[in-house]
Amino acid sequence: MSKIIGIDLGTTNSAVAIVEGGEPKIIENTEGTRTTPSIVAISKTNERIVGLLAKRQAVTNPENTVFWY
Amino acid sequence: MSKKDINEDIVFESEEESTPQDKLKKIKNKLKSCETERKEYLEGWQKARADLINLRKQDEEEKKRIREFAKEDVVLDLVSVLDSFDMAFSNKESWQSVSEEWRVGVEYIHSQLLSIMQSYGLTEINPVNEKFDPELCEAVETREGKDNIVVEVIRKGYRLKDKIVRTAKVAVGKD
Repeated sequence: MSKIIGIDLGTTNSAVAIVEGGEPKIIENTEGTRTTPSIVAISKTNERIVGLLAKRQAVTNPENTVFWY
Repeated sequence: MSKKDINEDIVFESEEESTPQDKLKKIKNKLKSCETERKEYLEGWQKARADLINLRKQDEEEKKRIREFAKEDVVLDLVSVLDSFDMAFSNKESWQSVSEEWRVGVEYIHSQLLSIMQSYGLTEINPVNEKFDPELCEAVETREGKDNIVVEVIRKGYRLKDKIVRTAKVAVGKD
């Protein structure tokens, strides 16, 4: 049976949750954190980067990094 | 289910009003609604059982993760002590002005602490002169230098076994 994912796409951070055993549970991202920065970037090698990785490279690549300020 | 219960669920009009066909139709409708209810209960039970199996699997994985990284918080707290040593050593002029006996002693304490942390699986992330990698580092400023190469590590990062527990803060070169 498929699960439903709930996404909170916030202006600064986003979060994803499922319902398990009748209780909502936030899912951790690959970095192990429960929220992910709402930032998207295109790297110098034309890769799409999102979240924490996009935030970490923002200073080196401001023209191709998008976030709400 | 007793005959009395069946009769309580299925209301028949008086014997003169309901024909055998009507009775049969009512029983068939009742059977259909019972089958629908049974199907709902079965699906609900299957879903709850699947949730329980998933929960047990996740619980086991969580326990395994906790066992593997039980010392992570303590190690991370001690990293700030390593940072203090790095700051003391970074000012070469001041450090050299300290008497040799004190310097050797403090350097030995630093080595001892680092050795203990390494025995728990801690390794440094010090990517100076390497290509900037956002998986390992966070760029805090750009400076003149080779494009996208780390020119200075402002604060070292650390890895505990396979997990990056702290990214390095770096200055990145820009043409």
